[in-house]
Amino acid sequence: MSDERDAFEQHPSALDLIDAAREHLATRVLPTITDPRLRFETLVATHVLGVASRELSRGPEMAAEIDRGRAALPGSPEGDGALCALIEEGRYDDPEAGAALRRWLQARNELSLFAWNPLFLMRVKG
Amino acid sequence: MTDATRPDALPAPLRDELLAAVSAATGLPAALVSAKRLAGGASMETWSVDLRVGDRAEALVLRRDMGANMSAYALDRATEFALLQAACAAGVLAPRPRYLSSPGAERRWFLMDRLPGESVGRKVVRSPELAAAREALARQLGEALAVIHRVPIDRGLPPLPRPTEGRSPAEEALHQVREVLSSLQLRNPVWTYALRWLSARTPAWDGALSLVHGDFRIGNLLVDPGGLAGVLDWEFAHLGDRHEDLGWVTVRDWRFEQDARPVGGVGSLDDYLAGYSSAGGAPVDRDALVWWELLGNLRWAVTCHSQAQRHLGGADRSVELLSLGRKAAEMEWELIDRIDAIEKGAR
Repeated sequence: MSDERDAFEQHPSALDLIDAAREHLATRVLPTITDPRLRFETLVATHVLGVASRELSRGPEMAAEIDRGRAALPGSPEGDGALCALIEEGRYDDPEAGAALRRWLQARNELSLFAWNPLFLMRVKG
Repeated sequence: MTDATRPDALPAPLRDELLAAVSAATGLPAALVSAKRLAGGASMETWSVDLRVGDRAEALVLRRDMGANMSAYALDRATEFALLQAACAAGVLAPRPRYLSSPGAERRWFLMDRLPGESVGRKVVRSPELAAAREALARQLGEALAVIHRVPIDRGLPPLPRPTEGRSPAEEALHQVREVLSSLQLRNPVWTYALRWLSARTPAWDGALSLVHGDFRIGNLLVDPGGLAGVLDWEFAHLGDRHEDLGWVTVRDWRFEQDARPVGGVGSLDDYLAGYSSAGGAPVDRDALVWWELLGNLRWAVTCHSQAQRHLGGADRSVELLSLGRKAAEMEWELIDRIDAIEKGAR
């Protein structure tokens, strides 16, 4: 059976574990830290757990969207390596192909930013 | 909890080394009054140090190498010390260098005067106490850069990195980005596209080399209620195209979210360039300025990945360094957005 309901799943999920660790750091550990350097590093640690959580929550969907968009570009590159080779060959130098490439690159960046810094995305997109 | 302001917060071997060097330089007895570690960059250890030298109190800042090297292009402490001496002599607003470690020191350091002011970027762009200072800051940044770019490069400066013969500063910068990318062994179509785009549009260069600070941005500048108080962190200084400095402070990340003020989150491009011109800066090529701003975004994105690699490779385990690899997405977004606007003719 390959039905999704029957796939092997850990319980609690990896996402549950990450969210719990992030919540613990944010609510139990951070308020007790007075050393400024350690506090900053712990804030960063809390943030990266949030990044991982957002990415895992939309991971498969995001990867599929990126792959579909890349395959639809002129030259139909199958991966980032193939796309880089086409860029270096000048395949996207003409205005139309360049514009299509930039649209895809920006969609790719937006998905990265959704995980890393959703507020940045809100700010720059207005 | 330890009291970081106690004299013994400074490691004893370093304290002894420092006091011996100061005594040797002055011929006076030197004693440590207090020392406090400052939040610093990832490649440099920085301390606020108070000494008594003879019967005089001295308020100083110590800059000391960390173990790991952040960049192959950074100056060593002895060169940075000599450069600061020359820059101060030429009237640049920078802390006066005072004492240099002996060549035999395991990790080189120097002490410089401690100037007043705030350098933390978020505070510089937001602090209510600095509101009046910010009004004039963009203009002062332009003025300060003009003074730096007018420092004579043929006398008084220590040997500084310069573009390889046959390459313009822009071509040298692109070469350096490619070298870092090659060492990272990562493929990212944003970098490939931006490199190709920038390579096809390198700015015209008249062959004139200037002293370039190399990291002139909010975060490396001291600001007090009176305005710009000092230009810090000279480790990336080199000889090159002055537009590199002019563009770097306009990179979005150095606005610390104050996006409406393109110059370091504090002011307008017009005020900044008016300050530059009024202090004797040569005419500015706006296209070159934009090119260096975009190059700055690319270089900062690639540097962020290099920093993440320091953690991943085990040289310097740090969640902060690791996280920078993901922060690069902000510069990558900016690069594509700006290039797209230029291509559409909406500069």
